[in-house]
Amino acid sequence: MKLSSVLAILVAALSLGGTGCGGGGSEPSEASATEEWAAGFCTALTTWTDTLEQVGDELTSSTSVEGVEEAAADVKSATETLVDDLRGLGGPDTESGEDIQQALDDLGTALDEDLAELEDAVEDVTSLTDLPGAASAIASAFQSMNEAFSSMLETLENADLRGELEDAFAQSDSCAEFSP
Amino acid sequence: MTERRLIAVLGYSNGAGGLHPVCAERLENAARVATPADAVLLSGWARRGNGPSEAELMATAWQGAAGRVLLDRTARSTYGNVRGVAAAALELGIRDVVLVTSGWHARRASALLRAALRGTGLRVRVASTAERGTRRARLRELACWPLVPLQAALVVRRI
Repeated sequence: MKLSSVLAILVAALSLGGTGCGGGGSEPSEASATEEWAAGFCTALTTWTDTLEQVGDELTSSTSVEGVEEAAADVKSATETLVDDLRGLGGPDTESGEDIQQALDDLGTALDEDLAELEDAVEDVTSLTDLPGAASAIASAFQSMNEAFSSMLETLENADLRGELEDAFAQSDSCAEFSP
Repeated sequence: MTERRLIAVLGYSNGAGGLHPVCAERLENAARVATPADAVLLSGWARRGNGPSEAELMATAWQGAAGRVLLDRTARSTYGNVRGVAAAALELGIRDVVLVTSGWHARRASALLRAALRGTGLRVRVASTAERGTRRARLRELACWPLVPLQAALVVRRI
C-alpha cells in the first residue's frame, strides 16, 4: 500500500477535526495559591504544546521508520512530563479543587493508556510498508488523547462556578496564550 | 493577474446563524491589512446544513480592498482551513500568505500552515485579532493540540 493510502486511512480515522475540531487589585501583590496553580498548569501545557509543534515540524521534513519512531518517542516523553507535572500540581485551592484534581488524575490515566496504545502501534512498524497496518491505531491514539483533554477541560470549565480559576488564569503571564 | 499576497481569513461560527462577532473581528482585521494588489481567501463551512457558510457570510460583509476575493466553503476545521489556504496560495503562485485569525487560535493555525507550506518557499505572516473569544472556544482550542503532530504530517502531503 502506498503512503497516500496510509494517509487516507489516517484522515478517515481522525476525521481531522478532533472533538469539538475548534481583576486583581491595583497594587502589585504576591501571587495567591490559586494563581500559582494556574501558572503551573499553563506552564506545563505550554511546554507540552511546544514539543508537539516541534514534532509536527519533524514529521513534515521526512517520512521514515526512524522518524516515526522518534516522533512517537518525543510525544510520549512530553506527554509523560505533562502528566507528571499536572499530577504534581494537585487540585487548586478552590471550592472545586478536589473535582479538578480528580479530572487531572483521570486525564493522566487516560493519557497513559493512549501512550501505551501509540507505543504498541509504532513498535509494529519496522518498515514503511507496515505503516498501513499501524495507521488506524496511531490515529486512534491521538484521537483518544484529544477526547481525554476535552473531557478534562470540560470538567475544569464546569467546576469553576465562581470564576476563581478564570481570575487566576487572567492574572498569570504563563496563561496569556490560552487561558481557559 | 498575479496578486502580491494572499490574505487568508479563517472563519468562526457557533451555529447560531449570522456572522459571529469573532469572525467579524477577523474580517475587519483582514480589511485593514488587504490592498488592491492582494487576493483574499475567506474560509469556512456552513455549520448549519442549509444555511450560508462562514465564507459566504464574510463575503457579504467584506468591505476591504482586494484584487479578487475567493471563497472556500468546505473547510470544517483548522486543518481544513489550512489545506485550502495552502492549495490556493500554490495555485495562485503567491509568495506571501497573511493568516488572519484570533490570537488564541493563531499559534496552532500558523503551525499547521507552515507545515503545509514547508519546502515551498512561501512565507507566512500572522495578523491576529486581540479578542479573547469564549471560554469554551479557548478550551476547545487547547484540546486540539494532541492532533497537531499528525495533522502537520498529513497536511504537507495532501495539498
